[in-house]
Amino acid sequence: MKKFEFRIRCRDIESLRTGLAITISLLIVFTIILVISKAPGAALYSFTLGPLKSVRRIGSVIEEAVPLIFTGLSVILLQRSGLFNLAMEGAFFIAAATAAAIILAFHVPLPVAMLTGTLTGGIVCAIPTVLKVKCNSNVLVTSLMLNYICFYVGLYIIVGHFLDPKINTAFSYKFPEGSLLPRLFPVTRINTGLLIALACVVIVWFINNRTSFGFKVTMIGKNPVMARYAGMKIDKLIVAASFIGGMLAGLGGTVDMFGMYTRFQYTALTNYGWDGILVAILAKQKAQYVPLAALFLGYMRVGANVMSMQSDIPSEMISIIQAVIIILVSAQALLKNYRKKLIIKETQESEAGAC
Amino acid sequence: MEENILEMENITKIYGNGVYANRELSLRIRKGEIHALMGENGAGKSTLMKILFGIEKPDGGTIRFENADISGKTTQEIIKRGIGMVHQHFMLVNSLKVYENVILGSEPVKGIATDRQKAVSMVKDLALQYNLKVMPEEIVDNLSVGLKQKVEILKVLARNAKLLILDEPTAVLTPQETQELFEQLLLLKKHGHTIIFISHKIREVMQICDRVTVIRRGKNVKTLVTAQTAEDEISRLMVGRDVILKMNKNPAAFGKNILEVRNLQYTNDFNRKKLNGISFDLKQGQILGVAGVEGNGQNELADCIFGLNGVTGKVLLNDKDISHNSIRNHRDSGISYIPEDRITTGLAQHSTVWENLVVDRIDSHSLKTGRCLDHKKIGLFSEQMIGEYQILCKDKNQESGMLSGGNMQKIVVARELSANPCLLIANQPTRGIDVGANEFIWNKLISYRDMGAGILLISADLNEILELSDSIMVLYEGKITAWFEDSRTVSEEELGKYMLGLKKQKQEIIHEEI
Repeated sequence: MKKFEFRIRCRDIESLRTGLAITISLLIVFTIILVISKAPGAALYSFTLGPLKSVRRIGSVIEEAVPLIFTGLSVILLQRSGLFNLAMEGAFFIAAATAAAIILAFHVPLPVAMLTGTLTGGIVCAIPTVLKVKCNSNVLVTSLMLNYICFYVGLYIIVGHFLDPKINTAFSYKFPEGSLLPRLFPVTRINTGLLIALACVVIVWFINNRTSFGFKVTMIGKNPVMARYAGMKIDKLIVAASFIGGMLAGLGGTVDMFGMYTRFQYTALTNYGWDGILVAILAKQKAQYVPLAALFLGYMRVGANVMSMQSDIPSEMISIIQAVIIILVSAQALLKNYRKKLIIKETQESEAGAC
Repeated sequence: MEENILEMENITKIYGNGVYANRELSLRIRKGEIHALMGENGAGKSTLMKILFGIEKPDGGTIRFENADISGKTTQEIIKRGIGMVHQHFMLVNSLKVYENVILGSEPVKGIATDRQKAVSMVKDLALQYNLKVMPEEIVDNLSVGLKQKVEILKVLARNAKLLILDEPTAVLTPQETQELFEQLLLLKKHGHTIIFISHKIREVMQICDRVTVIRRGKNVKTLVTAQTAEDEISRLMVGRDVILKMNKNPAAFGKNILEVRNLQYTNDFNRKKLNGISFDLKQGQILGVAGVEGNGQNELADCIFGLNGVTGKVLLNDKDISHNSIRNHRDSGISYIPEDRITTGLAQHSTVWENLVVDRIDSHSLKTGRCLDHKKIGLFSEQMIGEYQILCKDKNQESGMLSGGNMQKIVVARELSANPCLLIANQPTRGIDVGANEFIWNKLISYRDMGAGILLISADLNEILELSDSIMVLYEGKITAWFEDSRTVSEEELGKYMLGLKKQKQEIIHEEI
């Protein structure tokens, strides 16, 4: 019989590191819960198994994952060319606002409104990159600032023109009949937005792996000097990549708006953009892993919510997990010595094999 | 038995990419000798010295200096103990004056201020004592490469170094400057200093070194007394076989002009005129060597022709003006470029071998089915390249940065040559790679020349220029100062004089020749 051999190679180190980071951060959270909770057992139980207790909660996990899939994909494309463009947060918000405004003002069909929102998102994310190309401005700074512009402009559009005076929160009028994404399953709010998200995963994977455009953008990210020397038109390519990345965030915003709500209800930035960074990091910048990473995050969110309802632990606990994961996954030093040992071992083996 | 000043025993170093730089290497240096450390590029000389100097941490072995264990000490402590290093790439602050560079980090003080006068006189004394003729008040940026090196040596001496390490000091020098350096080294020896002289030029080692340690592939092969050793023996030890230092090539058969450069001017970002009215022609089947001390405009010339820099003047390819075309246009019209620096320009280290091989032609239909990339076709092409250019790698999916310098260079050469260029700009095509890869690339270049391509060869290695070129031009301070239509009519000595600016041909003669 063949002996089953379990071996870790150097190339597995990256996944190992992600797994270890998640495990450590969970352990930290468990420790905190054990220390501060009066009933740690119950708290842990609702955190880990709570999300699976009912169809509705499982639905919530998926609902939470959908916008994260969009922003995760958006971040992958935005940062692929090596720029640190953070405008996806604002793009997500203003896309939802424009789409809502268009549909409320002109009663256009839903796809038209969503398309408008998507394009708005694309334009917003392209702005910092265009500024970088034209004026050599810092993308990080301009994109960050742009988010506030998006937020207040979006808020101005809705609050200034479409505020429903009959309710006493700053929500817009109800969207017209038939302008919501159809629900897929009873009880849950899962809607066709999920299908759009999965289609986007395929599209982004395709762009990155099967088109020369995706290849070029990747290479610009790896070494822009070489990309120029190899004959690429860098300026056009990075603007295009930002535009597509922004469209994904924008589409995410409209899907969230018309899938989950009947009115424009955002009163603050949604944070889905920022969370997209975490999703992209967890997914190792690969589109095919984005749904998994988004589901994981959605699961933890719902778990934290259930826990806060059923025990004395606040749901903000989730922020600690997120922060620790980001720090550990991005910590290059984690498992460095182990990696080196593996490399040495493999070098020796390959030399022995060569002899 | 003479006393050993330095004993490095069983040093092992493995780099993060899995390369054995040193493997149980031992080196013993006697007091007061000039000891050569020889080996091909990548044999592990520089790594060994970095370990000695505390820059790299060894994975095994001990180091003793003057009978004290200094393994694991920091660079600062090692300098204090009297070991000094003259780096291959100078570690000088260009905007400061000579004496400021020399005292940097160990300034004599008066109160809280630097004692300028004392510093200047100290540097003057040192320079006088060791016959290193530099003016202490000169700005380093204005010095020639040879003088900068003297400043480096002064810097080391000012810190009372007993053992000096010179990492390939002659690589950037002209033959004349080299001789001057040797006289100074002998003077240092007379004053009781010990010198480790790293080089891969056998002739130089024979000339001034007492003993030589040859290392190959990270292991030491042998330590020999130079006076009792023949050149051939060392060269055999270095590469493990006899090296063919001569290239056999067919006589040149020039065709029509491929490249015509007319009055090319380029001023860099620091407002320095790097190219000043360059005009020349390059013909089919011609290898035109560009000789010159580094920094006299060679890189700028290559970058300007390839379109990486904006230029004034004219560049004509096959009679068409291409001065304002994009790099994409240049590549499409048959220009290939092997850049000087494979790490920053030539390839992306964190990308795979195949990605680097196709990066210039990813839009080509031969790699696609319909409008999508066809990874089967890409794979076939990459594997063919890996085979044809003998790129040593696990497979096409290996990260390029994990390969040795020679194999990285082969990726660049494979990509640039497989585009079937009519004009190839080769800037330092064999820098820092082993003899095997070197010979391979030389043969490839010559076979492309025989097929009718024009090659502009820029190299700091005079041997490479003389062996490969059909014609040679010399660049000095951004101008062509000499032109030899037939490279066989000029000797290394003679070229050296032109490179240094000691000799210049009359501009009219150059233009007539061209």
